Amino acid sequence: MTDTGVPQHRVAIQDVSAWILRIGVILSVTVMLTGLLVSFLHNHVDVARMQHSTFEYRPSLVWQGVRQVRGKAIIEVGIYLLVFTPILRVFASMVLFIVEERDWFYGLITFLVLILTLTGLILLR
Amino acid sequence: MTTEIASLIWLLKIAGVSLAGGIVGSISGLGGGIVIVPVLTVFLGIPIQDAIGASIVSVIAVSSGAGSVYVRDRITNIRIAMFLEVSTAAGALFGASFLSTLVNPRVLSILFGLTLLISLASIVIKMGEELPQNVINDRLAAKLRLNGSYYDKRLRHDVAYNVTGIPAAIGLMALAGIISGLLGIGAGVVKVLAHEIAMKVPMKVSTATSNFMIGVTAASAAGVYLRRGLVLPFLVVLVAVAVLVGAFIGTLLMERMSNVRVRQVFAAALAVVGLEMLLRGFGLRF
Repeated sequence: MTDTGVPQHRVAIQDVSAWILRIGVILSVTVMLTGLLVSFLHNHVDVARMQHSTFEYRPSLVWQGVRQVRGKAIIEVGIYLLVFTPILRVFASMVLFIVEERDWFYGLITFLVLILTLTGLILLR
Repeated sequence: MTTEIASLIWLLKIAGVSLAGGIVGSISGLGGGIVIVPVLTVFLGIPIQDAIGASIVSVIAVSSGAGSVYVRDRITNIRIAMFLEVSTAAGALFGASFLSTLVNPRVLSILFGLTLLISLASIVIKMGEELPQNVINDRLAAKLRLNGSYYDKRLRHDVAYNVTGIPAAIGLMALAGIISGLLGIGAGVVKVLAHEIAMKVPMKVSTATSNFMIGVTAASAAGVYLRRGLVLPFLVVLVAVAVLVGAFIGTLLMERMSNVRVRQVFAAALAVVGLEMLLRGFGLRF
């Protein structure tokens, strides 16, 4: 443990954060690559189409696409997983600061970061 | 040439650029957008908005991928990251929601570019410094227990460090947030500068901690781009995967570099970002 002045804990926030980031990244990339493969199997590889194919924002449409095994929709799920990875990490740190370290100040700080981040993600324009 | 071959060449070019972006971004703590955005727009003819959208997703990928290594190895200081992320996140929201209609982005780009190029001097002055000397924790840093230590694989010993200049750092981080909200860039560069100039932490801790923070800021900004349909799925997959491979290569390199070498990489990246901002302000399309 290299955090000087902090007693040893059973669960280190660093280790949990590292695992969340690693799993999030691997999972999202696997899903994205699956989507890419699916769309290559369904269609010809066409640069013009790939350059102009946009993201479908509405989650309901994305889910519909996944059920129809559409490559683009699967890719979009992967992008969502990637975007939520750091946010999940912040959430986990908040829980651990409070539960493991009994550190209410940092728990509150992390809660603020979480709220501000989600506000930006959901509300901005 | 068949469309298949043309498409594959296009994909390979993007993958190559992204790989380089991941390596530079994970060492310098800036994300990778600095390499990806100009190359995609100038050399591959991708519209700036699409390039920035891909870059935001790539920042999240680099931050998470490289972060998983730096955090595990305790180079990232998560207390500094969480404490300063509050002012960045607040600044980003404020910048994007209230200031964006009041400020001319081109004027801002020029001012920001000039500021970065001027601050390059303060980095150059301490270019040869391996570890900061005689830093005493300031009151806030002591109270918040922001000091820390990490095992330096290059020096082969633990490096304990103190932290100072917290009030200045809070201001700089808010500024970083406002700029990222207004210009749509990660502003990791201001975060590293705040760590380096105000707080005086070791260079590796600076870039690793900045790397850790930019993912959260980028995730917050990603919503706007997802909603506006400015994130191209096929472009993003390729960028994300290649940038991640680059990020892991970058962490292997960075942990074995001296702090001086990491600072050199950052200074070079700082100069590039400064010039990019100036050129963008003067109307170049990237």
